[in-house]
Amino acid sequence: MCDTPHPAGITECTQCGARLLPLGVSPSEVPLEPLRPAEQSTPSREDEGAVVEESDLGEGEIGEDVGVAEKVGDGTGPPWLRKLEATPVGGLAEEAAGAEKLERGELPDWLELPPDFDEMLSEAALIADEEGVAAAQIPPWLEALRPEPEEGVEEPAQAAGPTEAAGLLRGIRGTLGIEPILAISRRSVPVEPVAPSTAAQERAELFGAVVREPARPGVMIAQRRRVETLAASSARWMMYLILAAAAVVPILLGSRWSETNMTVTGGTTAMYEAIEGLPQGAVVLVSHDYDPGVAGEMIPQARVVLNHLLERGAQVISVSLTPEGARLSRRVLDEVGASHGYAEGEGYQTLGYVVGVEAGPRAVVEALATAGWSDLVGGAEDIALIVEFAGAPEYLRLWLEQVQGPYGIPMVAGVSATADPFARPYYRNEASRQLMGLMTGLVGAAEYELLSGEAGPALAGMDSQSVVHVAIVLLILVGNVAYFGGRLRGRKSG
Amino acid sequence: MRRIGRAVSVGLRRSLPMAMAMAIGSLMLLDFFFDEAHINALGGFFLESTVIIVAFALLLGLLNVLTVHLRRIIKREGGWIYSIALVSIALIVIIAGIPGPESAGVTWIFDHIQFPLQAATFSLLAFFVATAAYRGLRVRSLEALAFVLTAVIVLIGQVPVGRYLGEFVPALKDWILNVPSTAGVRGIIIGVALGTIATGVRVLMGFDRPYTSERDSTQ
Repeated sequence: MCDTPHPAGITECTQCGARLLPLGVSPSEVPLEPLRPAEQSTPSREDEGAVVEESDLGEGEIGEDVGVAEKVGDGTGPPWLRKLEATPVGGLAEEAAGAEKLERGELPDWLELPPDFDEMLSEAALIADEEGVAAAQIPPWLEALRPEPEEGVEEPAQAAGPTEAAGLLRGIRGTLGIEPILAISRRSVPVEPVAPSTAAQERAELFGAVVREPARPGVMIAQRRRVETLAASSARWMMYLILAAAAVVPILLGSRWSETNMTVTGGTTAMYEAIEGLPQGAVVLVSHDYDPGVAGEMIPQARVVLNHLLERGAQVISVSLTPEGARLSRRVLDEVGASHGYAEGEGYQTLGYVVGVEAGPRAVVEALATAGWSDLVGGAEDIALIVEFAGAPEYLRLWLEQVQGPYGIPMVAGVSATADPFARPYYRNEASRQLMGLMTGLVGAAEYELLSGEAGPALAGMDSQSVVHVAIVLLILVGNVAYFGGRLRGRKSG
Repeated sequence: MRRIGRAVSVGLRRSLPMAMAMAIGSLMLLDFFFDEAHINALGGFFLESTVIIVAFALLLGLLNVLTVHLRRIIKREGGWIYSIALVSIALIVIIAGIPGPESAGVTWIFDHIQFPLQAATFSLLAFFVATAAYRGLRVRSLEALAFVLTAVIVLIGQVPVGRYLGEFVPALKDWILNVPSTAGVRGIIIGVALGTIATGVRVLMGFDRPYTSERDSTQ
């Protein structure tokens, strides 16, 4: 397409020879016109006119096909092919030009099967049988269609259609023409000048001034972030100071308010009664399974319970499933034993750290007699009570599963506050009474001290713990107030 | 001949540990449920052997740690300065513990270094819990409201301040701990127990072989 404008009435472009259609007419509505016959000489790509071969139907053909067509014209092909050759190409084009417009669903004549199509097929089959063509063998008439390379490469026939004179496809023939409506050049319509209003002009000038201004956001953002970080860290430090003050101030003041306002839970009472009910000289196996992280609440428990046991005259055998527990329990035992005038081996015995995880508790009970670890115990049945101090719930579970369940030895436990939820189901199991008593955290130790009548470090720490708990609750409330305040402010501004 | 030897070796490597695990596991299970002298004797023997093997496993772990960190020091890999600290402290404690676990050196190291450091590190959690409570316990929904209320009731009811505010506070705290909390934990414990049983059965029947290497377990 060369985009050359033409006056109305012209049906063919004078430059490139493309078919021109009136505006508003779709090419499908206009039947194809037979192309002009090609010139006798070999057409070149520089030709502007349409050069059409007699056998050309407007589709590009390769030179081999032309050669084949020429060869087939020699009369060496099968009869049905010769019949097709008899039909002139020009005649087909004229027929197409003169064909009536088809109705919907109606096939053109040339697409319909000829009436003697079956006869042609049978003739082809007969010929194949006559020639005795075996499977995968090419019949002679098809072989005759094979081009002969020794005659030299022939120039491919020129593609039909006009040659493109402009654009990327310049010089190429046989391209599909585009819709004329797309090829119409459009002239730009000048936009009417708009006079801006005064306010718009001012805003535009302001915008221009802002854009021209050198940007310096880094400093401002950094300053804002420093302020925000300072505020956040200040809030965090305030909380830390509040908590530290809540923990330290009651201790420094020596407050004993909790002693008069404390209640004793059922679990601690049951544990106290279990130990209180031991006969004189009963053998009690005490396991200290905690580490220095929870020693703050476990050591007061161990101290008050061991004190009670030695007061009852029980024979204490101390073990530990953790290496730190062995050392921590040794300190407590020595301290409590010395207060009762006992030396090791007299009222208590320390077996130290026992490895083996699940095998450890079972090995302790079975080996107490068989391995002669203790002269106090002849077997598991000689153990009157097991007291387990568990800093983590898995140690309590080990003793329950490996010793309390199989041997049925009564068991009480003192656990850390974090292990209490996991220990409570065993204490609340009234059917099988897995745990006869349960003491929880520093509060449990304070309750036990209250029951024992001997105030110790646990009761002294209760005021501090109370104030810290209240401080945390207040922090939660302040946090929620700040959260809802922020939401209200956001709604008002939004 | 070599092929036969290799086949025997591979077979033993795979089958022998599995056979031992199945046999000893079944024996310990029988020992748990039956009170028969021979079974009890065998069970006791394997129990004591377990304690000894675990003790040696601890020693092996220590040697592995020292080897890894010594290699890091020799090759000057990342953080080799800290490896020097670890190896030197480990050697100091080992040497101090030669006379026994209750020796003066080990006792001093534990009482003056390990115990204060470990206790202080755990004590920092209190401050982190407080700041987390300030930031995290926000009433954004009904579920969050229930969560916050429960936390407040248990925190207050756990200490004498709760009784001072009213008898209902410790009573409510006890109900929360004894009923919904215990119910939830019971479910978790039962689930863990069932999973443990299933895992034990799989090991006893040889479907899981945690005692073999990766190469043998995948073949």
